[in-house]
Amino acid sequence: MNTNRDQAVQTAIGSTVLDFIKGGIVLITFLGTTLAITMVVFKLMGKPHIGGGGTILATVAASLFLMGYLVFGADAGTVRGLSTHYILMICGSGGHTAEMIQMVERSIRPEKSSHRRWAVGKDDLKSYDKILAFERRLLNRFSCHSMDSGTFDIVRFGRARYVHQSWLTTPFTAILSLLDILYILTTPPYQNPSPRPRYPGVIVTNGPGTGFLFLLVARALKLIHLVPASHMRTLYVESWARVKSLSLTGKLIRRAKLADIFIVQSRFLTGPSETLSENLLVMPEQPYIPFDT
Amino acid sequence: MLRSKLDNGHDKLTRTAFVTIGATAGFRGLLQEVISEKFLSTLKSLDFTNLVVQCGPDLEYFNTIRPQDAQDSYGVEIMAFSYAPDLKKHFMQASRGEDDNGKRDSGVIISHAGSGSIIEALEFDSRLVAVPNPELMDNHQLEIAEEMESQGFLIHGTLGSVTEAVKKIDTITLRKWPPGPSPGSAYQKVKLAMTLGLN
Repeated sequence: MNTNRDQAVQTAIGSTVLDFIKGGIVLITFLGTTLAITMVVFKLMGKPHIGGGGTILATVAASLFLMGYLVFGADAGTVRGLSTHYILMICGSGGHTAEMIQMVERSIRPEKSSHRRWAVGKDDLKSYDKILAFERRLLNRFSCHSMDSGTFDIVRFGRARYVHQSWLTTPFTAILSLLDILYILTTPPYQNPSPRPRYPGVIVTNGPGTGFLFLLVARALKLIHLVPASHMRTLYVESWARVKSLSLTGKLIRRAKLADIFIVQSRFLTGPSETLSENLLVMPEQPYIPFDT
Repeated sequence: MLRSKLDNGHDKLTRTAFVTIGATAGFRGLLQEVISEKFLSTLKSLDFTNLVVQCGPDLEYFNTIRPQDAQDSYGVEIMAFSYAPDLKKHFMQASRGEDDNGKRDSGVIISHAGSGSIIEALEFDSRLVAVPNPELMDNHQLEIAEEMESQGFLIHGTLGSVTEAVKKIDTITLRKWPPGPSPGSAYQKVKLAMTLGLN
């Protein structure tokens, strides 16, 4: 009884906070864009300085213009074959990275000019090494069968809050972290041959806290139509280790409906919006490209 | 199977129990149990020849409590180390196969119930006892061990009854790992790939 009520309260608080964050981000992006457009318009009109009434009028006009553009105008964009996008995988500390690697190692199929972008924390050198070692294994394995394993890059983001960090400085590191995320999401990898994929086609994450922020920023970018709807599809895979309860990140992502597909690996976690795929990290039974034995 | 091979004169057949407690936390309870008289004598009676123990931060502790000569260890050869970046060769030693030292019978892996260790151990042709570390709160080791036992891939061992778990695992057949998609699983449905535009 008691725990149920506690959970309900937590749920209510959680969703309010989330709605607030969501609304805030969209609002800030929106206002920022509006302001930028206003400035550009003023510059084009050649006005040396901005007067009070004029600014408000111009801002309102620009807002209306932007809203009109968002509602009617934006071009959805098209995916022209496989190589116009790449996969972005957000790995956290130790276990998350290991599971992500495990999933890719088994399920990877040869594709024409595929690209994997791995995102790891700046302080997470262990994950960095693990990914490098994995990519080396992958290259050897594909080469043995005269196949192309594609390209990859590893990008790094600052954490919103480091362990033991003071809450006073947290807003600043959080902003830096958001900037890193924005940069990672909008900067195309240079390894891939043309046409260079502008944005990730799919973003995959499996549990680190920053994964939530990535999906949040991706959602914001799509809301303002900076990124076409055909890109930045989001996939959340709850950790295999989660049997009876979702992780905090999983709960946040599910509540904010940030994942296009939300996969759980335990039958105890299924719900209306979750996709059950037990033991996904060892699928398929026989890998498409055999492991070297 | 093992017995008949022995009768045929393959006296070099080895059988190993590999104990691994992971990289991060110590697990003294398990270390104590696998060198208890009860455990070692059971290993002997099940024709085990070797016991390999990965001790993590507790190697020194382990070396002070382990039996110092072969008589105390019932003839089971004990080898201990702290940690190795690649545990593959030790997992291999506990699984069926052949190497320079002769043939190996399928042994047993006794692991803490960390998800990484379980996944790694199941890759080998061995049998796994997963023991949750009770000192680690809120890390879901118990949940995983129970769930994986109910799915039939391993035996869930608890401190105080690891010996019984090893006896039991010698008599039952575990499910093959990896299992492949469960019936009606979303994995089989193309929908997943279609929706994501992956195919």
